[in-house]
Formats: sequence, structure tokens, C-alpha cells
Amino acid sequence: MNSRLLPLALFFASLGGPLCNANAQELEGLGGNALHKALSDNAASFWIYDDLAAATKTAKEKRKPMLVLFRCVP
Amino acid sequence: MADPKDAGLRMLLDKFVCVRLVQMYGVDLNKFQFDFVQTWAIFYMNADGTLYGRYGSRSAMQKGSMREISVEGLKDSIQGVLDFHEIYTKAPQAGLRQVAGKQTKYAPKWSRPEKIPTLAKNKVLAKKFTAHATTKNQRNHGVGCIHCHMVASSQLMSLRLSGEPIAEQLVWPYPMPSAVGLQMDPKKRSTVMRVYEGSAAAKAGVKAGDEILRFDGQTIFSTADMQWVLHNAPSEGELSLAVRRGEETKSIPLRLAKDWRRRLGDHRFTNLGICMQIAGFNGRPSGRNSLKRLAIAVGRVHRKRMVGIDLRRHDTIIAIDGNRETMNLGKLTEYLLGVKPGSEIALTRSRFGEEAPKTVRIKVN
Repeated sequence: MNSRLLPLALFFASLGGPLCNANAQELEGLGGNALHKALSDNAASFWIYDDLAAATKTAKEKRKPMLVLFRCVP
Repeated sequence: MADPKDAGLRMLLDKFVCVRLVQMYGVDLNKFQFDFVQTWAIFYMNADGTLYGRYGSRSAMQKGSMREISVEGLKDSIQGVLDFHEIYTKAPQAGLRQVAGKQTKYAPKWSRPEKIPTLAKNKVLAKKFTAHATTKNQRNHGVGCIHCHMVASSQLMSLRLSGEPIAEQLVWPYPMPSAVGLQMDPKKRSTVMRVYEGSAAAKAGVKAGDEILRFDGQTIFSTADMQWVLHNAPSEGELSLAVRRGEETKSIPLRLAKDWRRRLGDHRFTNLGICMQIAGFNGRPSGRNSLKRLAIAVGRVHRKRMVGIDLRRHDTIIAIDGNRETMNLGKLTEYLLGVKPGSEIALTRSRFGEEAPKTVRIKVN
């Protein structure tokens, strides 16, 4: 990069960085997409799919409460 | 599972057995009653079948959801349920009293979605029901799914076609707390963020910052829990609120004025589909004029059904059967549901560029 432009680029980067982070945090905290993602990603090994009876049996054995999610895939 | 950045949510969910139902086929409607128009919904339960509470949003994928839900709010709600689970495990009878109102209130006419006549008669879906979308590929493409929203609209249409009365709560289901003047804090399980001036909540003396502990005697873990209470509330009457304000716990009676449900805004996209099925068109209130008198901007028309009928997209309906009283989408849906199948309605419409309004007649399904 042209050395004369470097300070200018750094200046804009310092402005843009916090703004981008703020937006990301806001979406992370409030946006429905973030929540949907949190409930969906890499979930195959975590969720019992479409088998309420199996989930009930497991919950009884482990004495845990159940969380039943109704949501299409993906 | 979960967002790897949010270890807190993962830790909370690890304390549950999590099950995911990707469609409504075979779901017991005697047990799982919720706002079927939600984008996703959660039930918190004990393995003995007792419902602890609900969580979810109608609009999880939309900007509007920013007013309703959040990851922080979900975590707060889950923590409340885990605390309650300890109480319930130690003393089930005492625990049950706190959530008794959350259990099924009434037996639905059809116990499973696939038994609802308009869904059962859907040949395309029926063929796929036999496959029952259980493979990963089917799930990923939504093949053979009965979606949640289909349950809501199919129940309404099936009741209508069978000539049975349709309960008010089916036409105006699961009101948001805003219906009584409350906007809830999306980052908390049940804290009031704002009270609308002149509303039922404002008249009752609810204040921003109040934490709602119980509503109509039910322990509240989420906005969805409040929707459940409002869904089952009478069309006129009183509900009790127990709130924590600072160090104090207060009991507040909340008065529901007559027809409080019908003042809701247009928020149910399923109503657009119902209007289309019944009358071959749909639409929404048009501009400020619609607050004073009937003004519905036609959105879509069913081309085949509208052959020979002079109604187009962007026309404005200014009278239905001579009635010029203002209607929102919910009221339009309610009106059409009440018209006998096979009979006609008269729509008076105005069109840009034409001087005089014109009346057209439509045969309804």
C-alpha cells in the first residue's frame, strides 16, 4: 500500500471497527436470526429429533426437565 | 449445539433433555397448544407431562422480533424454569398449583393435525404424509411437512366448512401483551419495559420496570406465557397480576374492556391466506383513511376465481355488503369466516383514474 495512504486507512479502520462490532453485538443480543442460529447450528448431536417418547424416557432416567422445540429444518 | 460464542446458553440447555419436532404431523394437539403462527416455539416440560411454560416468537426471523425475544431473554427464561424444576421435583403438588393454568384448557376438535379435514383432503400433502418427512433430506427441504401455521388456518377453514361456530379465541389467538398495553423487555423473562398510555395496564397502575411474577395465578417465565393467559382470557373481565416492584410484591387487578382482542393490529399473515381461500382476494387497511372508515387496499387476487369480476390489485375496497365501518385484517377475516359458504358478498371498490366506485359480487368458498 502506498505509504501516504496508510495513516488514512488506519484512521478509517479505527472508526469502522467499533461500529461493526457494535452492530454485531446488537444483532447477537436481540436479533431473531441470532437466536435461531443459536438454537440450530451444529445441533445434530445435541437434539433428539422427532422422538418425543425417547426424549421423555431419557428425561425420566436423567431426572432432567425437557425442552421441546417446534422448528422446521433448516 | 448452539452458537459456540454463547457458552452460557449451551450450559443452560445441557441441563435439559432437548427434543426437536420439525413438523406438526402426529403431534398431540391435546398437549401441544401454542401460537401456531410462531416462527418457532419452545415447551418447557417435566417428563411426567406437566407443562412448565412456553417460549417463542411469531417473528423470530424478522426485525420485529427485536421487540419480543433475545438470547439473553431466553437464558433468563430458562434459568427461571430450572429454578422451578427444583421446586417441582421436591414438591410436585405445590409446584403444580403454580402452573396448573398452563396445562391444556380445552380438547381441540381434532386431536392431531393430519385429522383436520382440510389438511386430510389435501391430496398433495396426503401423499407425502405417508412418507412422513423423517429423512434428513426431506427435513432439509420441508417435504411432506405440516407446518405450524397450517394447523391454525386449517382449523379455522374446517370449522367454517362444517358450519360449526368458530370461537373468538381462534380468530384472535394468542394476543401479545401489547393488547393490554404492555411492552415486555426482550432481554428479561417477564419485565415490563413500557406501558402504553391510556391502556388497560396503565389504568391498572402497572409501571415500567415491574417484574411480572404471576398472571392469572400462573407463574410467568416468558412473553409466550403471558400470551397463553391472554389467549384463554374472557372477552370482557378481570385478570390478576402479581408484580415485583423494587422490594415490594404487589397484586394488581387488570380490567379487560369489551372486545379488547379486536383492537389488535394486523399481525397475522395467515389471515391473508384465509381471506384468499374464502373470497379469492386479500388486502390490508390502506393509509390513515382506514382508521375512520373502511379502506382496504387489495393485495392479491386469485386470477381463476376472478374471471369476469372487475377487481384488481391496488383497488381500494370501501364497502363490504354496504358496510363502511373500518376493519383491520383480523376483522376482515372474521367477517369473511362468518359468511355462509356458497353465498355472495358485494364489494364496493374504488380505482385510481375512475370517477365512480363500482360494486362487484364474489361467490365465497
